[in-house]
Amino acid sequence: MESLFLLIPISLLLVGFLVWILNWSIKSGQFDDLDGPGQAILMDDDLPKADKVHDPAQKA
Amino acid sequence: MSKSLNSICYHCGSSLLPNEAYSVDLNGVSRSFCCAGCMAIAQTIHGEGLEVFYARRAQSSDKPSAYLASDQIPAKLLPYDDPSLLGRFTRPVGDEGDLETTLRLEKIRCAACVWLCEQHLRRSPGVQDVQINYVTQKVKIIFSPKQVSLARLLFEIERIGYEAWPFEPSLSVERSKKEKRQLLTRLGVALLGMMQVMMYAWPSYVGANDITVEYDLLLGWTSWVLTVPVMLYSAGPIFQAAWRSVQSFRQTHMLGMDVPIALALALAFIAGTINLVTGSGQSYFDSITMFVAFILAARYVELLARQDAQGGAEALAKQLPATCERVLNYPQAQQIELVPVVNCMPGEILRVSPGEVVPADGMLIACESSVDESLLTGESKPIDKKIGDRIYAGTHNILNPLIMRIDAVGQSTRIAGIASLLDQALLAKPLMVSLAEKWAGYFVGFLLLCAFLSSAIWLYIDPSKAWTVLVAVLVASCPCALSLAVPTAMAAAQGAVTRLGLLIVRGHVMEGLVKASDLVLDKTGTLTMGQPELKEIVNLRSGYRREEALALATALEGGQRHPLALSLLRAAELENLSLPVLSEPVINQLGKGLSSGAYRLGSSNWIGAHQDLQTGQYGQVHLADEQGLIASFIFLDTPRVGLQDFLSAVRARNITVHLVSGDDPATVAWWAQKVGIESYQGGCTPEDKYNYIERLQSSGRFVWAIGDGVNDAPLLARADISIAVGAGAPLASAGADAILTASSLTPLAKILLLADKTQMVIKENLMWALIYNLVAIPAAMMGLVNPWIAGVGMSLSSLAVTLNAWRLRKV
Repeated sequence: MESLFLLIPISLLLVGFLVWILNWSIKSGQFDDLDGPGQAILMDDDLPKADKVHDPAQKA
Repeated sequence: MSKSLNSICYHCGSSLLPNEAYSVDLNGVSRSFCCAGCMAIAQTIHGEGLEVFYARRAQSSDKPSAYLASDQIPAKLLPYDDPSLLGRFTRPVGDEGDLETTLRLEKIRCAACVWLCEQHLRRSPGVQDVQINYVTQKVKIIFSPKQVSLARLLFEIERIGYEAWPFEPSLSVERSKKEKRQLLTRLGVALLGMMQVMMYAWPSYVGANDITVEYDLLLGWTSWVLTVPVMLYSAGPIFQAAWRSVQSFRQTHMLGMDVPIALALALAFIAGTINLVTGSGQSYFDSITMFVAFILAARYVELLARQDAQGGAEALAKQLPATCERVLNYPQAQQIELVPVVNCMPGEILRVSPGEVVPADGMLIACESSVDESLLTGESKPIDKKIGDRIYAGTHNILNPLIMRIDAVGQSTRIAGIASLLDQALLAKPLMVSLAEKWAGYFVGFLLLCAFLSSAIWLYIDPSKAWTVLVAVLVASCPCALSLAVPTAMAAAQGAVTRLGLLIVRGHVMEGLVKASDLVLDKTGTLTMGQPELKEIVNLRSGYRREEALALATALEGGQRHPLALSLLRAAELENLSLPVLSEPVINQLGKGLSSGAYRLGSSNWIGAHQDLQTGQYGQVHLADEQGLIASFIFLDTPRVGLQDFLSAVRARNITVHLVSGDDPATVAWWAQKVGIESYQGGCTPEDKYNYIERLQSSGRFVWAIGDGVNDAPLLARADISIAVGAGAPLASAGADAILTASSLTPLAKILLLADKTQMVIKENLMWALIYNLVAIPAAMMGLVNPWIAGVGMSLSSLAVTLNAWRLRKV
């Protein structure tokens, strides 16, 4: 049972870490659009080759 | 199979006539197109390897403009590279001179459309980064101005069949984004805190009596450490609002709902901390964190719905074009240049092509034309404008290119005036005290009374327990069931309503529908479709069949934008008529009609036909040749689908129906009689409509309004609850509480029933929460509540409330 004296403070640190992750993900806009990524993954499964048609100049 | 595939356009899905189809080989399969524009788009999409779009799109696309066939940026987009507009719509970003801009996409139908725009932009040269939001349909692009221009980016989106316009990020948009993110962080902290504190409280829930003092202390202080940020950060705004409400009590004589919440939170936290330090009694931290989390969750859901509603300013920007054709040196040279509307001044001369929106208020000085003012005034028929007539921004020119002199631009136009009336009306809107707030108010009052009363009694019996009982009563009554009662029912009902075709923007709609005593309807665009349909063909000359006359008239009208012409085209398409080829070119005789050789199609005066007047009809045209009249076509505005269902549902509830319209009084009276509405008023300005509602409200009526036009916007904003027809003006939606996305009115009849059911469920839920609390509070007052029983009871009561609300999801 003495292990609780170590484990509970560790859980506090974990919560702090989670809050930091949450804050980072909200700030970087990951919660602004909750539909898009779900839709995009369905569309992207057969991702076409990235040919640039009207653009012979770039990367040439 | 192959026949049906080849008889419709691969891109826009419109039917093809065999002789005018374009055909091209794409990925080894021959595809047919209706026009060069569609073909160019499909070639672009296939050329970039994005053809999966065609397999994934939910609907076929719109027919594009013909100029897309060439790779030239059209002249109407070029002004966006003018420094005055470029500076407004872009911001510098990074060190390498890159620019950032936000565009709003139009004509988006499904997720595949958004995906296509994103992929296509990513493949454009000079584009550094693309961020697209599927929900708001806004795209943020970072581009290098050396390689690509803003006009080019707009054109790239047009090249794949969509439209985009630059979006000026206003302060309010930034503010609402920040507000949303901040509330989400607060909610997240509260939820994490709740989760952890509940876990630490578990031993005391299950009554682990063998727990030793040092572990109890450890768990207690850990909970305390987690509760402090929830109190200070997550619940901070609640305390601030409560404090402001107390400070302004002298003026308002009202205490906000935040006051009892803040009081309960503060008392529970102080009591919990004292108990923790003295090492006896409950700590309440689990209840505190859970309470805060639930309150913030409810507020977050409300915030999302509120922010979806557009402000008047954004809607106004969408209603008017960004560029216009300015005439230089009028009337000598008549050179035309394309300029941003913001750069125009009163006194300058503009040309407006047919099919375009008038960008400013002014006076017609040359080239008479017809203008569709239906969105602005409710007038259903196009209005003939003569030289010297006033022309208003936001109206549609439909006949000829007209020349006008600007009298007012921007904020001083008539349409901007209506927008500001809308904002005024939103401020004046009577606040509806929702059922939940009223009950919660009573409940909190009752609770505070109980708490202080029992604490006073305990002070008399046993002073040492008075403080414990005070807090026990406040917390044992943990208003979970109460705080869940209304939001769960509302969320379930809103889900069901959205599937029926009504988008709720402001939360009180479902409650308001139950209370409505008067319904105010607009005519053009709401009661009717605002679109003429061919009703009948009369005076047919013997020797002509009905179909022949219709086909001939349609051939004459081909390419015209007049509503009657479009209606003839639709009628001919419906009957699958093949149109005769006219031997002579069609000449547009201004104000009279059309002629091609001996054939003439137009008004009764010009043709010399007898017009049998029939009130309520939209209009009629006559077809004649050198021998006289061939046929007369009579048009009627069509009533919206489901109107009768809806009106009978409304009448069954004893709601008085009013018809208030800007159309001419005779037409309004005819329609009111036709559908059976007793009180009606025609020829109303937006101000008249606003006053009409104000009069009803001041006689104590609860007004429900439905409308679609710009002229309805103030009325919709002022009414107690209002619904805008989705296909109408953006400005009307800005003032409304809900938007009808279905084109039929039948869903509204169902929604009325659902509103009743929702109200029932809310009452049941509140009743249940009240009964639970009536049992729990006296028990707590007597000091009987065992934490274990309280925990189980709390979960069960919350579960019961949620399951009861779930019943609303089935419509």
